[in-house]
Amino acid sequence: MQRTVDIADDSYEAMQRLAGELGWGDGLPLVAPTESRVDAMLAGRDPNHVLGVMPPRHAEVTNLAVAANAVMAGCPPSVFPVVTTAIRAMCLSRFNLEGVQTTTHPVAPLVIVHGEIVDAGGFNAGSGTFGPGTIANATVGRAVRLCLLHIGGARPGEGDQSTQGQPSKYAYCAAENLPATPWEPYPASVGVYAASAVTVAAHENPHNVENHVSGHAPSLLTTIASVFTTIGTNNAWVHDGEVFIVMCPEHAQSIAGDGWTRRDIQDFLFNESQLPLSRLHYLGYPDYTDDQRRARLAMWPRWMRDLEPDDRRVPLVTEPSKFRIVVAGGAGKHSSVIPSWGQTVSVTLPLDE
Amino acid sequence: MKIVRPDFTPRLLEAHTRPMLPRIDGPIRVGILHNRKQNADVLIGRLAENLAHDLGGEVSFVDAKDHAAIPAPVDLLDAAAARAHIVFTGTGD
Repeated sequence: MQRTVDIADDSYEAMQRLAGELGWGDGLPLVAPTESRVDAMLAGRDPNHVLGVMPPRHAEVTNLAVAANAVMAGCPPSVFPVVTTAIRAMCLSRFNLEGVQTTTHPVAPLVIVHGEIVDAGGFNAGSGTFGPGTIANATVGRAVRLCLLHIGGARPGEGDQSTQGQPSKYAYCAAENLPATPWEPYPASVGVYAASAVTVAAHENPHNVENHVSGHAPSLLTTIASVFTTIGTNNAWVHDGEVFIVMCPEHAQSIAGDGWTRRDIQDFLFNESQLPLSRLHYLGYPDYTDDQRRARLAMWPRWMRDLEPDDRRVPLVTEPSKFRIVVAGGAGKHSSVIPSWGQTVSVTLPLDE
Repeated sequence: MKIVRPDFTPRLLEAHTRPMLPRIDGPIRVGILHNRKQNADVLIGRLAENLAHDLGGEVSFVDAKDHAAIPAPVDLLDAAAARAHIVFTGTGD
């Protein structure tokens, strides 16, 4: 494959015309990845360095192609290492990018930025961290998506079979609000000790948790658990997917004010986020055949499979650490529960050079 | 003027299909390995039966794996390979 393609000029009109002809883009205006812009993005990095292999196209991913997509997305070069780290993490086999890219589920890779790069790269970890208005969050999220589209070949209806998609398939990047975090930094909680790090997690959109009243851990976490404990969620269907709890600073500080650690939160959520076994078996489907039900049970731990489907309550994950606790956002009392897809696991890596 | 292709890759890891069988002794044996996706058994069952009928063979192997998201165990794959020349397995949603 040729590395470059001819274009009339670097104007918006020329870029849109070429993208239309070649089936590129996410539907939004694109910056032309001229060689000089890509060189600036690479900033001396080896363009031929391979970061991994991206399905479903099974294409080797080079710094060069990632830089081209970062330019198209509008990334400043200062945040390029966040994009390469996210891509490298997603290409690890344990992330299961093949499934993430091709499933009918709406799942999209969420990028969470941690540590010194948050301020240095201009990421917004405060009010509206998941939303618009910040170049770093918006363009890193978009660059990752463009890589998944262009290098990975996940075009909607072709490589990407998502039934409805979700808005976070345009861009999905937030930052940990470390100054407002009353516990150790998130990467340390998963064994990554670095000045800066990046987490990728294959998840649904954030589901809002609204609690303006409670000032204590049990009541706040009961509200959070209730958002997750539904029979339509991934973990009721499949069981044991990771769940990100992105806690707003005010909720986090109320919980920490009671002396609760991150582990205490995980233990509480593990015990509170349970459903009656009979409900988990049948999911409210009166016409659910035994064959269909048995297929789902294969994903359950042995002890759950062997129980009669009675009214005893059982957890939706196999261990408390499946609840991943991150603090992000600004003032206000809205947190998020973010279910994942299947049994995919998140990956946290130190930031690339 | 040139731009860098955003879909550039130095190498595509190609999937290779199994080499053709040099010959088939006797009637063709067709297998069905249900992946437990909704209606997969109906669809691949019909395909397998049609193929066996058209080629004068038989459906010789029918089994299912535990879940669509869990790989089939090796002994199940070995059994399918031993008892069928070709196996239909699975659909999407």
